[in-house]
Amino acid sequence: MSTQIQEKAKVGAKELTALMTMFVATNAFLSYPRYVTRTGLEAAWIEPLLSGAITLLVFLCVDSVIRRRFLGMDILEIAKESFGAPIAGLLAVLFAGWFLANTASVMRQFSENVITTVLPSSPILVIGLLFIAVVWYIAYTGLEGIARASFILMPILLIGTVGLSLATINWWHPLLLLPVWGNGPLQVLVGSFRYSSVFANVLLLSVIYPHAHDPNALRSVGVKSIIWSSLLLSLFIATFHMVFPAGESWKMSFSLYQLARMIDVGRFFQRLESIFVFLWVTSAVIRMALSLWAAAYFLGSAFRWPSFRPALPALAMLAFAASLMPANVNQVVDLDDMYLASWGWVVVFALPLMIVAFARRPKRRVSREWS
Amino acid sequence: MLKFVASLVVPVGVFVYTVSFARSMERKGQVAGAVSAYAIGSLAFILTCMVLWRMFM
Repeated sequence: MSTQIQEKAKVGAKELTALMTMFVATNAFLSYPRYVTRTGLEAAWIEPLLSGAITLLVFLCVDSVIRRRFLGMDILEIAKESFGAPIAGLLAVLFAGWFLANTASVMRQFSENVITTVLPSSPILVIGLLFIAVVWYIAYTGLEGIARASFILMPILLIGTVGLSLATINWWHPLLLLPVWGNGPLQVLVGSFRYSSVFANVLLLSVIYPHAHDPNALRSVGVKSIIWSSLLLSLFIATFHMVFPAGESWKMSFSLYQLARMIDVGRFFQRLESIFVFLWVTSAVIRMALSLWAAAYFLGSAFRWPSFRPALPALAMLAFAASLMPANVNQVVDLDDMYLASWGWVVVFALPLMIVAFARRPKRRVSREWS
Repeated sequence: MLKFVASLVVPVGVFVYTVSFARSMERKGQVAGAVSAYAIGSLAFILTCMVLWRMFM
């Protein structure tokens, strides 16, 4: 099916690892710390680790089935081969809708964050238009362009999270992380499962399979990116809770910014939040570009477009308009929590698992260079 | 009203571009592709108009 799409990029393992890590770790800049703090309180830092473990398990299941039975096929090709074009089309629309809604949610949250932190007088229309223009351009370069950009920008993400966490070391109070199990083990487990959809690696990697330069390295890409991103998220949330008590911090909408404001390491190393905001925005642009590309790729594959690129302006505009539909950012966070974050596991875990579990072995063998 | 009309320049351009993409597929006999492109173009245009209307009118 996706052979219709002419842009068959070949992306290296390092670039894909950077891309997947960045896609997930960017959640530290969004409402994810707030969600997990509400469910786990002091134990919120454990939730990304548990979610990562769940994701790893699902990824290894999907990966092993694809390797054994559907060599060189992506998840949509498998669905089309086994369930027919109409069902594959329906699944593609669902996946694309989820990615578009995700792009819209991230765009609105970041636009509001930029306005409240560094550009208070700028209209949201201007910020959003700039965002969408950059996101469209990066998505236009295709998977290869996005992956290479994310590999180059990876140090920015590391400075934006690890550097920030270390710069607040003089505010750390490790006792704020007690009791270890916070709201209780059951709540922590429920929260880990509920918000595990931030790890969209399973779905994304199952699309990227035919694009990998070395498909045999994709298992290591998946494992490494899941481990790295869950460690980054956990480290950031632990730092956040060592600075702000969990009971209060779940009300904060832009946790990273609040943490950046606390930096005070000597006379010349304080109030650095404006620098960090631009680092976070750079990471967010990569994330939105990947989700926009994924939406366009799913639709292009399902409806046999000759290329996904001509549809990018309309899809970018759709995401932009959808991002401005809610009245305010609180409504966006509520909608994101209620639907995208809480039920995202159905799209990113359950559907790929069901597709590979119930799919029939293809009649024709897809010839690709898989060892 | 003037602001609203001026803000429609980009959405109209995107709509025209998407429609031309859909028509090119229609000419090649790709009905599903053309219908989906028409649907996405129209949906994006209508939603953007709604948002801009709410913002400027």
